[in-house]
Amino acid sequence: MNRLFRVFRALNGLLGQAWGRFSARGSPLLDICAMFHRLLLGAFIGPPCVGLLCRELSRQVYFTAIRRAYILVFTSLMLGMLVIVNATQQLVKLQGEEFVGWLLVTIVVREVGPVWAAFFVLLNSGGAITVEIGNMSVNQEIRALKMMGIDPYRYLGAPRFWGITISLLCLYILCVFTAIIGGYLFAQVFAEIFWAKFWLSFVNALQWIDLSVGFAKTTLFAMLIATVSIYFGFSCRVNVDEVARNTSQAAIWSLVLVGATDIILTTAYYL
Amino acid sequence: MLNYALNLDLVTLPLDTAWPAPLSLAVAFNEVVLIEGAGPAVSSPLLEVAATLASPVAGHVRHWGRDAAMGRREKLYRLRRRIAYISPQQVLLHLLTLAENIALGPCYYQGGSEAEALAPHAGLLAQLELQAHLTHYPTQVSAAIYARAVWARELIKGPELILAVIGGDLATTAGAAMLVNVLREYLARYGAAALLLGESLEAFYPLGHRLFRLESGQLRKRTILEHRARPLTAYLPLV
Repeated sequence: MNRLFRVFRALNGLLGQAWGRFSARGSPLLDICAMFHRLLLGAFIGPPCVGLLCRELSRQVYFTAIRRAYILVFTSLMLGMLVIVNATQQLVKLQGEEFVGWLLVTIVVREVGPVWAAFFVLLNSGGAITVEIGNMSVNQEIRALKMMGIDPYRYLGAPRFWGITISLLCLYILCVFTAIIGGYLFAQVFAEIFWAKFWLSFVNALQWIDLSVGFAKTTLFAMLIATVSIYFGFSCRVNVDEVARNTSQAAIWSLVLVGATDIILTTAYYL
Repeated sequence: MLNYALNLDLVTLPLDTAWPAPLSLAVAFNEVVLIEGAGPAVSSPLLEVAATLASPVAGHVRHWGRDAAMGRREKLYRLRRRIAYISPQQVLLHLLTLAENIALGPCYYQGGSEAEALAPHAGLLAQLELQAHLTHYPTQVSAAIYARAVWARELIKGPELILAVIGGDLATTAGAAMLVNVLREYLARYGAAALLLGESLEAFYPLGHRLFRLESGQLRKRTILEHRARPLTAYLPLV
């Protein structure tokens, strides 16, 4: 009986340790979920400060979607060109030029386009948000906002969350559009596929479901990147070193969550 | 009124702060209580407990008998809005101009633009000599103007309870004289309770109703003769 009790106690200790490790690793995920819920509804609950929130939102949209959009245009052109360069050589050999459109829809519209735009936003704005909010937190500005009776998650978080979401949707459309242009340019030069044939092939291949999956992925990626960046920004408490550490953590968490969401949505599409 | 409803019940301050004496204090509506001999390092943590309404290390911050921190988040923020907390450690948002910083509270709670929020308070801004600096960012102004902007930001909220640590540039004779005028006008116009702490508050004696001095870990009461007949009608006990 005594031996049984010792075994039970050891097992209990092991389970406790395992739970401790799980909760220590899992708690940021739970906190991120709570933050996501708060940011999603934050803009709509509270005092009527539409002008103030719109000003913050427009700043975020300008910073994310407008200021460096030319870089995304350039990289998306290259993406379209790469797809065509790799594909057309084989397709021309097999007399399958009509599949160029299908290829662009699958790669650019549904799979790589959302991830491409999300990576651009993660590199361009994700880190910047974490650093900005982190520095404000370390400089006691968040505390000052709280003392003034202003909810910092609503005033700073919600406009950035929706700003990133709107920006990424716009950037996704821009990315798809420029990738198609890039693809067409290369298709004409290297494979002698002309505009009418190229466009017809693309339009015939494009289905509503492809666009819906692309937009769904883009929206979720944007929300995840914004939530994670804001969460790690607000998590900074002590000093500037913590801001640097949290910025890299935010990037890693964003990558993991975007990857996991992509896999789930792609699998759901094929089921 | 908030000065009546708010109650700090056996609050223990964080371990790294040292409020030297247990304090039981009442602040009446339209009363100004002064505590001398307590510098910013000592007095800021005490006032922060009242201003943030966050759960202290021990004890309770109660509002109408209920734990203030246990209420809904929106209610907590509404309560905080009714308290002005000013100390040398208070900061402005570095990405906003002074005008945006000062008007942030009214813009957040009532909507509208900065100009609309600041227009009714032009007199206050003129008294604090801030009008020439409204378009500047906090990093572009001197420490004195920065401190005055913090006062303006807090008073524009329309607080019912003013908790202030007097230090830095506003502890000088000129700065204190300016603040006395500002506070006198605010109290006459809107009515509020005020608790001011600082090393030396002699410049604020004309405004104060009761004076305490922190001496060797004890609070000793001193009466300011001009105001001794004022009745105590409501209170803010700080224990």
